[in-house]
Amino acid sequence: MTCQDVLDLLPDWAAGRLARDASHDEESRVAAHLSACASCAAEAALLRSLLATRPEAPADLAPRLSAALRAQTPAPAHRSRRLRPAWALPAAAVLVLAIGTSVLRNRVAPTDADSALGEVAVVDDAGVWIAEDGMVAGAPVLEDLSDEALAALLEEMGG
Amino acid sequence: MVTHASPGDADAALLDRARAGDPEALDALVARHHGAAFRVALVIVGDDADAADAAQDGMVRALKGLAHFRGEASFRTWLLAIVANEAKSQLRRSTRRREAPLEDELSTGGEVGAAEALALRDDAARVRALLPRLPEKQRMAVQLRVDEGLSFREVGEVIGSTEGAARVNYHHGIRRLREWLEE
Repeated sequence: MTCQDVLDLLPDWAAGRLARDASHDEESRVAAHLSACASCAAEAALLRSLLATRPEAPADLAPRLSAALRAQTPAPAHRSRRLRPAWALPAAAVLVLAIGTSVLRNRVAPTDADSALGEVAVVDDAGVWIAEDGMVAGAPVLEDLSDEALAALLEEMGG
Repeated sequence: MVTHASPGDADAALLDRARAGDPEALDALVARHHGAAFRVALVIVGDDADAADAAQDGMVRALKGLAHFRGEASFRTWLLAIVANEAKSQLRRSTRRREAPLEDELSTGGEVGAAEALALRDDAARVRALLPRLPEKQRMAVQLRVDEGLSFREVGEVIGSTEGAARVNYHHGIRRLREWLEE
């Protein structure tokens, strides 16, 4: 066992973790090395000093943490989504594509289609679509529109 | 090479219950990890009160966001990495942080307070008192490897480095502490 091998293991040896976690053979090999190597033994003493002065958390930290966790309601990891008819998204996609083309074609002279789109989503200067219930960079993501917004979009675009 | 005892199995069972909304499981996770969270925060911010705040904020954030824990690292290293980030953010925000590092105080012996001087005469306390003089990654590597018993791979996961870099940071930190003690 080289000095480098021992130095890698010393924190576990000094804390007694080596005796618990590994074979006693490894623990005894480290001990044998330390009895013959003053430099590694000095480092073992330093590590014992560190472990002897390991800070403990304030006594009130755990109760504070538990109280804080109980005070907060769990945040859902994902926004819940209600079911929509299977045809809604494809239909809306076709309509948005058609309207988007129209908007681009008539950008100089806004049309009714632009106004209809404005009730559902706004395109800001940076090209970011701000829907009623979220902001989607670059282009509208239909799944992020609320049912109401999607229904309005379908109604307006269809009309 | 030692096989580090992994608290992962016990954590896994608690995590399942915590995700199901069991408050006692959350309490158990707090009890298992708040000490390490405090020490990790302390080695970054250097102040007990700030460390407790950072540990609390980081642990609450982690335990409220368990859905984001994908098990790619152990729960302990994932949690400690979040606490470490919280502590670093708090250090940047804190108006209470010490402007004068300990190194300056030690270099001007006449300005060291009586209580501190008394503590420094004790070898064990002196080693601990020297720890804040190390660069952040070195003192984090030393703290996580020695105090918490993390493997070098786990240390790297917390401090955001490779396993090899974590080992180098640890050994450089220990070597510096030894040099300072011998001065």
